[in-house]
Amino acid sequence: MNKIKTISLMSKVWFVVALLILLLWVIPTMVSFYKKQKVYDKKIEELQVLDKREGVHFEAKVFHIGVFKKDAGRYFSTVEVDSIANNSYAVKIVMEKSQVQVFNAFLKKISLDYAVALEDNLLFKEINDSMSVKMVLKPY
Amino acid sequence: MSNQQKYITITHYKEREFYFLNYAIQTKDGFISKEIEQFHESDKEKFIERIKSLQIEFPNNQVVSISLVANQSIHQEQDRNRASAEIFPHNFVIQDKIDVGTIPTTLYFSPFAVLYQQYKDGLSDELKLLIGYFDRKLFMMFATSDKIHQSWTIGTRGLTEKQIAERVYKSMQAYYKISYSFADHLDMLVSDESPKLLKVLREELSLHIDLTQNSIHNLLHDMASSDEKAKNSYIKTFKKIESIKEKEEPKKSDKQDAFERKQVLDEKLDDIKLLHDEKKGLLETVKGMFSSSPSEGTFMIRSLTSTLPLFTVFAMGGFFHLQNEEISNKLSLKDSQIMAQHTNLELAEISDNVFLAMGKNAELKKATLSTKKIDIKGIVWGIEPLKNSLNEVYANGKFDIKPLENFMTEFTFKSK
Repeated sequence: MNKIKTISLMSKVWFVVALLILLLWVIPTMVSFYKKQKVYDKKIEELQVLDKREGVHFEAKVFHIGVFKKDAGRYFSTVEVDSIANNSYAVKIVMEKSQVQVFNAFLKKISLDYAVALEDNLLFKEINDSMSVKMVLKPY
Repeated sequence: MSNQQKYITITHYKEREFYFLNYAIQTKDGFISKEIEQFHESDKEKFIERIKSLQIEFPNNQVVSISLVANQSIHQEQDRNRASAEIFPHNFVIQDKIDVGTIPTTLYFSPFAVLYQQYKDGLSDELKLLIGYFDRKLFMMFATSDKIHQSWTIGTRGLTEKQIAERVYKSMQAYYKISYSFADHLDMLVSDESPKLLKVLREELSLHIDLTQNSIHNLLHDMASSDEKAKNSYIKTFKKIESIKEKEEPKKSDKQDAFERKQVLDEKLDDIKLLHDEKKGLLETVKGMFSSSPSEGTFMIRSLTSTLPLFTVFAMGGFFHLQNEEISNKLSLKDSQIMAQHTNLELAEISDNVFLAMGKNAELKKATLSTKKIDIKGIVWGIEPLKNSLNEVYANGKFDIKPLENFMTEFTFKSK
């Protein structure tokens, strides 16, 4: 008790300020962090359930037109990507009609391979015995 | 007078790696100093032995030393957890610990106490800056006749005289900022010869400076010459000189003794009177609460120590804040990804279902698929099977057929 009395007033003030900051800012931030960490772990688990890819699973990479075209070009004859308004990309894929299953499989992994969201609209059209699909991708 | 009766003061202090030792025979007319002895710190044992041999030779003695550490300052209140000495009512020299170690010492002074002793008679209502230059450190204090207001210790090792003078001036400015008082007079007590420093100080500060030059040994011999002076000592349980004097002068008359006691009492009463005359204003009190008497080393250490919890809390808070931001961003990305993946899976499933439903009964020409609705158009070969299949996937959908000119049939299907 005597030791506390001998501590200078300024030190006491700093201590009280530190205590207030600890209670009002640090601990709530800490609690919030650990809560979010827990939620994040759950999200990871949820995403693992949704991940239908085979083999090694990579983290979603930033969308890049060149990389995307190269990736999609391995499966489809024509891949066109154009930058459009609202920071989005219009994608046109042309494939043989028999490749629809391949396209669906490709669809299931776009957002796992790239940090993009697919606009809820697919436009299929027959062109000269081939099938073209138009879709809009928006990086998040 | 035999050695048994002589009162001697043995003084020692350490400067860098050397111990300096001296003793002086105290007489009524002052002290007679002997030759200064010097010991390297590796010869500490010899140094201690020499002190002990002097103590045996002169049993009536005081072993006097001085603290030359930078971490000492003058405070308004006594700190019982640290080494402190009252050099004036409500002025205490405080330092972390006594640093004489195992070396015999019965009186231990601060340069502030020595400095105050040297100049206290010249103090008035006007603010005066007293500077003691010991061991290349400037022990500075702003004083008036009633108290010491502020103290600083400035190290000067490696600094030019001009830089030292600038630091002194900055200290005066710093004091002016907190007290709105500027010392226009400066007294300086130097333990080494430093005429250049004095010259530069006079030039840079444009102040009249009263200089007193004396060796540390002489200053200590003087401090230990009487009980009144020696009371400003760090070691409280020191040997009283008065009692030694009684031994030294056993024939002294009781009347004279009583006179001396009265003189001491009068001086003490003067101090108490000054203490009562001291009127603290509110502003002064508040200032006193927040101002410390920072010495060069301790100010930083104490400030850092007192703010350490705050820094720690800020560091923790900052760390968790950044972590929180990062996890929020990651969480937001995962949310977006999960949402996008749900949509993609759903669209892929719809696409699968539509093409599966058409099978060999139809051929798709155009389709718009979304998770909410579908709108497809194509050529149909088996109307009923197609209609049933599509209705299985999308119940109550609108199925239409239209004959074409080439004998083919076009179908359209829209979900509800």
